Order: sequence, then C-alpha cells, then structure tokens
Amino acid sequence: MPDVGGGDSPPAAESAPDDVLAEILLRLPPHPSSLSTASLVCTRWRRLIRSPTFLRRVRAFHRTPPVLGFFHNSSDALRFLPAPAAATEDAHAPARVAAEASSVGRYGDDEVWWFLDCRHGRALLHSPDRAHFLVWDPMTAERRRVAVPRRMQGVGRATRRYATVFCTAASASHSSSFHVAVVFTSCGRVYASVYSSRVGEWGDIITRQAPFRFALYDAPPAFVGESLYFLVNQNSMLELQCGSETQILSVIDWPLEMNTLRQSNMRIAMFLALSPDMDFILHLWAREVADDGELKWVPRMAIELDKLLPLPTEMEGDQCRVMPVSLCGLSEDGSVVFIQTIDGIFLVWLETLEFKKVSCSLPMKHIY
Amino acid sequence: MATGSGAAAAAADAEEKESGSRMITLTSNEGKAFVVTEASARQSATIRSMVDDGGCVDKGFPLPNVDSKTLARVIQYCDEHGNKEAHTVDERAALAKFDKDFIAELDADKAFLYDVTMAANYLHIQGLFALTTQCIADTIKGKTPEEIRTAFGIEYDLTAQDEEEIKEEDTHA
Repeated sequence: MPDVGGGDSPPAAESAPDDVLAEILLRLPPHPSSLSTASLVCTRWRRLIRSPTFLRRVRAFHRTPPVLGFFHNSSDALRFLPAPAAATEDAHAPARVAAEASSVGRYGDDEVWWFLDCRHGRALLHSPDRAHFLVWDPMTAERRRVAVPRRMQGVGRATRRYATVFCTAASASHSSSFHVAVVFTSCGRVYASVYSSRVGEWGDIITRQAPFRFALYDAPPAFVGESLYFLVNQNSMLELQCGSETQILSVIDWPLEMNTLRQSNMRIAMFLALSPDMDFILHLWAREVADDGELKWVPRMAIELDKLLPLPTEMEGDQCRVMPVSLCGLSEDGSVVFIQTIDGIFLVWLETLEFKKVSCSLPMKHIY
Repeated sequence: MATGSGAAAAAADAEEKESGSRMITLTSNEGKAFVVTEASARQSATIRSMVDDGGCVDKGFPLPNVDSKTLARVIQYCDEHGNKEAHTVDERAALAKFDKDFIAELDADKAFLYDVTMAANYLHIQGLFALTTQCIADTIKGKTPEEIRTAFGIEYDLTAQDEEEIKEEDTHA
C-alpha cells in the first residue's frame, strides 16, 4: 500500500470542510494557549477559532476541569487539601496546587491573602485591607493583582460583599483573560461591578433596589450559561448576567419546593439542595429553557443519601436515629458533591453515584 | 465480512430471515460490494436511519463518497464495535485495545487517516469520528504555528491587520 500521505502535502486539515476542522480543533487540549497557537496558523483557522459558536462548543466539550481538592483559609496561610483519587489524569496536579498554595499565603511583605472563591481554574483572594484582589492560576502559577475601587472595598457600615472570578465564553480564547465580579449591598440597594482583565478596568457599578431584608448568603455563587447566581434569603436568588459588555442585575425566585429547606444546606451550581434532615434526599435543579422560552429552575435529580452512604446512626432510647448530614460543597459543573456527616466528609460523584470518604472535617467551602 | 458479488447478496437474503442477523450490502464508489451484519452497519447513524425508515435494505446502500480502501477500513471498525459485546470490563478493555491499535495504524498514514475521518463524518459513525479527529488534534498539539503549517501543507495568509490584532491581544494577555 503506497503511502500517499507523507510529509509533503497531507491534505488533512487543509481541505477538510469547516465542520470537520472545527471538530478537530475542538479536541485540542482545553488550555487556551493551544487554541491561541492554532489561531496563528492561517486566516481560516483563526476565523473558526474566534467564532463565538466555536468557543461555546469548546467549553461544552471540555466542560469544567476536574475537581482537585479544596481550599481553606487558616490564620497563618492558605491551605489546600487534595481530594482523594480525584478524577484527574494528572496525578501530580493536586500536589502542585498544594505547594503553590503555601507560597501564595506568604505573598508580598508578610501579607496573608484571604481566599474568597475559585472558578474556571482560577482562585480569587483578597488582601487583609480588602484593597486588592489577587487572581491566581494554581496550574500556571500566574498571579495578577487587581486594585479594588474604594467604594467596593466593603469597609465599615453593614455592607456584605461577595466577590468571584470567572471566564466568559469570549474570554476563554485568551489564555490569561478573566473577569472578577463583586456584588455588595448597602443602604437597601444591591450593587454589582465586573472587572475585565482585557480592558484592565472595572466596569460601571450597576445597582437596583434590594427587596426588604435582602441579604447575600455566604456561599459561592454558581456560573450557569453566562450568568452568576448568588443565593440570597427571602426565597430569591440574585442573577448577574455577564454575557455582554453591560451586565444586568436581577432578583429571581427560587423553585417553589425549596421554601422549606434550611439555607445552610443549599448550593447553586446547577443548583442543589438537601431536604430537611429526616429524609436525606439530595435534590439537583438545573437552569433550563422551558417550553415557553423562559429560563426556569427545573428539578433534575433526587438522590436518597441514606441508601447510598453509610450514614452514622445513634441510638436514642430503643430507636436508631440517623445523625444529621449537611451539604458542604458542590463542584462548578455540579458533578461532584461534598456531604458532611459527623463521621467525616464524603465526596459523591453524581453521575455514577460513587462515593469516597475524605477523612477530615474542615469547613471546606471552596472546591477547586 | 464477505466482499463482492451476487453470491454474498444471496447469502444476505437468506440470513435476513433470522431476526437480528440481517446482512446489509454497502457499495463503494468503485462499485465494490461489502456485505456486513446489520449490527455492524448500524454503527453508522446515516445507514441506521435509512434502515429504520424501511429503506432499500434489499438493494443495498451505494456510498458515492467513499472509496473501497476507506470503506474496508471503516467496516473493520464497525464490525468490531457492532458485532462484539461491550458489557464486561474485559470486553470493554478489548475494544479499547482495538481502538488503540486501529488508530495507531491509521496515524502512520495521514492522508488515509483523513479519508477515514471524512467517511466517518459522512456516515455519522460517532465513535470512529471522535477517534480520528482526536488523533489529528494530537498531531497539532505541542506544535508551533509554523510546524502546523508544514505538517498540514497550509499556506501562511495572515494579513498585516491580523498580526496587529494578535500583537494587541498578546499585550493584554
């Protein structure tokens, strides 16, 4: 059989139709640098890679990076706890993050950075005086400082602030492009502003009247589609749409059934809640387009935890009682959930319902 | 798999009566007939939908976009994935091993790899298409833009304006 390929003129990607070429480029490693290299090959590749449709497909194809472990703040430094047997091909990644984490804690002149949130491979920390954010990519060791405008530092008054880092589909094509969003409340209003690393500036502060007794809840927001969702009390959620140049801030309702749940047992990723203690059912909602074209929270999955995990029990008189469990974390893509019991923390893969015990009981809020 | 001829087609007709083991004839653009099991042919979503629509199962399916050499290789993949079970861990491991060897062989002949990719795309054979496109992507991985151009015979055609934009992005990045 003659080798018609050879090194001279293999026609592969050159004459492939756009849809086939897109399928090939889609399978490059998800790191943005491999896409930016490919976009330098020729105008056709460049046009394909820069199209919003393609970038959306890249995100959908590769989904969220695997869970490597958790961050937690301690008084002297930032700590990273690797997840056991995380579903990652790179066995050294968790150790690398842990080593990096200890050096970030001492970044600057005796400053201790305080961990806030992480998403899309990046972590967000703030300085003790809250005047700076540090955006840190543990995998590449890249660190960027972002100055926080005075108004958003959240010092004094009864201001509650939540900050988070994320990439939009458009920014995913640039290796070190990211956004930081800050949401805070003050004097009966809720405010939001988004920093873009590409522009190097904060966008306008947008604001709206907050409903009566509105309070941001201290849990990581979820990034779904191109919007951030923050849990707030009053049976509602705060939605910050980040897809375009100008953001939109709105308050939306919770799914009705959730009104009976305790706040401490909820996370939004897609959106997850643990039922009241007695029935141990884990509910997963997803934000989906309903038949009428409106975005709605739709129940996706219900898992009976007591049938899955060896939940600790205690004898109460002659009755055996299952000890309370609580939800302590959820990965970005909603595929891994962390359940805390008095016996320790369990990591549950929702797709396969496999679980594993993490033998410690730290307050783990931030899953990387 | 048998190739060619009316004898094979007759055999297919006979077997058609046994449920689940119907034979289907695929014809390359060179007119060569390949007789495969229905399970094998159903690896292709294109053929599957034609079969399910009650289409020309008896007459066979002419494939004007696929040459004999490519079709034979595509059928090799479909036979393996369509005719063998993949329920146990061992069965799945055996299939994975097959895929690995299959793609390694194709990888040595890039033009042929491309032909198989195009056929897999045309016939909508999802697993094969994923396998070949991933293989081509792996070829691109780790290369500089110049190396990629050389490997794929692509002409450099970025304009001065493009280059300006790229520089701009790099300073922001």
